[in-house]
Amino acid sequence: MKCTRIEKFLPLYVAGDLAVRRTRAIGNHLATCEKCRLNALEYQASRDMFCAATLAPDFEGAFYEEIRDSVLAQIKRERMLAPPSAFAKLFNPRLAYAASLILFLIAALALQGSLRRTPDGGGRDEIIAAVNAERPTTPAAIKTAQASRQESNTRLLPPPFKASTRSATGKRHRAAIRAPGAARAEMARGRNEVRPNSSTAQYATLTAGQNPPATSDEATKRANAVEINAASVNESEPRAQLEVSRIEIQTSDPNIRIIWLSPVADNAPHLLK
Amino acid sequence: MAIGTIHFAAMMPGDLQTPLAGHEAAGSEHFALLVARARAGDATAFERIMLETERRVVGVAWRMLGNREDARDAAQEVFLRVYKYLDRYKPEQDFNGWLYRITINVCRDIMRKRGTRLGGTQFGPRPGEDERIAPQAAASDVNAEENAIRAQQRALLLSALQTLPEKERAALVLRDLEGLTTEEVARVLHSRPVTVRSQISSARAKLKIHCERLLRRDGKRV
Repeated sequence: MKCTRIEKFLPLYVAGDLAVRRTRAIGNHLATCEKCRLNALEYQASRDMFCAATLAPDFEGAFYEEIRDSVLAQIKRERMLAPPSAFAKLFNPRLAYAASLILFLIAALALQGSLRRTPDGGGRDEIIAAVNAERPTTPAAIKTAQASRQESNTRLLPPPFKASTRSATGKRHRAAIRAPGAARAEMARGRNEVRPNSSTAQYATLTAGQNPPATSDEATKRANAVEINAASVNESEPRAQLEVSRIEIQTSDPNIRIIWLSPVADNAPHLLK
Repeated sequence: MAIGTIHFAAMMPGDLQTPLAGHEAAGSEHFALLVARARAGDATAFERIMLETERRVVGVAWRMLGNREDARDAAQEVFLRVYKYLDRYKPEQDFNGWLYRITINVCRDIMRKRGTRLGGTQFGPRPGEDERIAPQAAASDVNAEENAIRAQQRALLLSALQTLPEKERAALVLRDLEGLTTEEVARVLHSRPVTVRSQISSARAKLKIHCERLLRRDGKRV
């Protein structure tokens, strides 16, 4: 090591503040370098001189007694020794961080759960999958479905009904739905009996089939809308008796049944366009 | 330099590196018990703490501040703070380190106040020095002169301590005069050991220059 580098370490070397390895290296250098050794001695001497000059003071007993009395009097006067508060005892920064983290996780899980939750407790994706599963996708399946629909038309189809009529006074009346007893019984199985006779109702049922309602309120609203639309009559609709086919889809919620009434293609092709 | 070395030999006491004497060197467990009692409202326990630590506190304050009055004020403030913050002391904590930290903080506060008020201080003769010098002076004029020179040197060195930056002074007092290790000093000052070493090295180099000037002046005088 060079002398300039050694000189940097001498203030620490004289008090043993260096690592063993460096202390040994400096000791070896000092054994050979007279100038550095003299410098080290000067450091040692100044340090000893300073330590001796600043020896702990030897104040008289009355000095310390005065300090004690003053402190105790002030403590008594100001009643500084307040018992630690319960919060201060309980408060621990680490515990606080851990608790806040746990609360955050719980809140995040709760939020996620509420977003995924559906009226019947099932998942939204599950409902969509169930509805889609009932829908035929392949040509063969579509043909089979059409065949079964024809069968169901003959078996379950309620008789054609008049949507509504306008009285002589111009007031709108509810459509009188005519259906045989067996068909009525079949239709009454669902709690929300739907008797649509408008394109709006068909659109609503179709939409409901494609995108199931996210919440129970929404489902109820849609069902009501379908019913209302079915009950009311749009004047622009053709006042013809329509043959409709009926498809029912039971959701996992027993209170919600999707009923799809579609006109038979042969009878009302204009509605399928 | 030889003259200076002879002076050191005459001035060096045997227990220079063990400034914590007698009952003051009690362990932290002992203090933890006293703190627990004081916290429960036992006034005698707190008085006991004061009795066992007052010399150390006053010593540090005197070295940091340079005069008796400020040291007394600082010691009072230190004990008031200790009492006030007894709840913050943890039993596993080093009580002496905690006490040193409070003492250094109080001294810094006083230095800042004093800096705006007075702008500096000067060390007087060491406590009890006047009483020691007086009989010696009566016995021998030569001894009296030597003692006077020594006292003057001491005062100048203590003044040199006051010229050091605040952090260097605190590090030097704790390391060289209170005998703490570099790591302990770093903990007390909320610093790193390498920083403390740097501060101590700088302070020692400055004091060496000061001592050399002092000795050169004495040599010329002799």
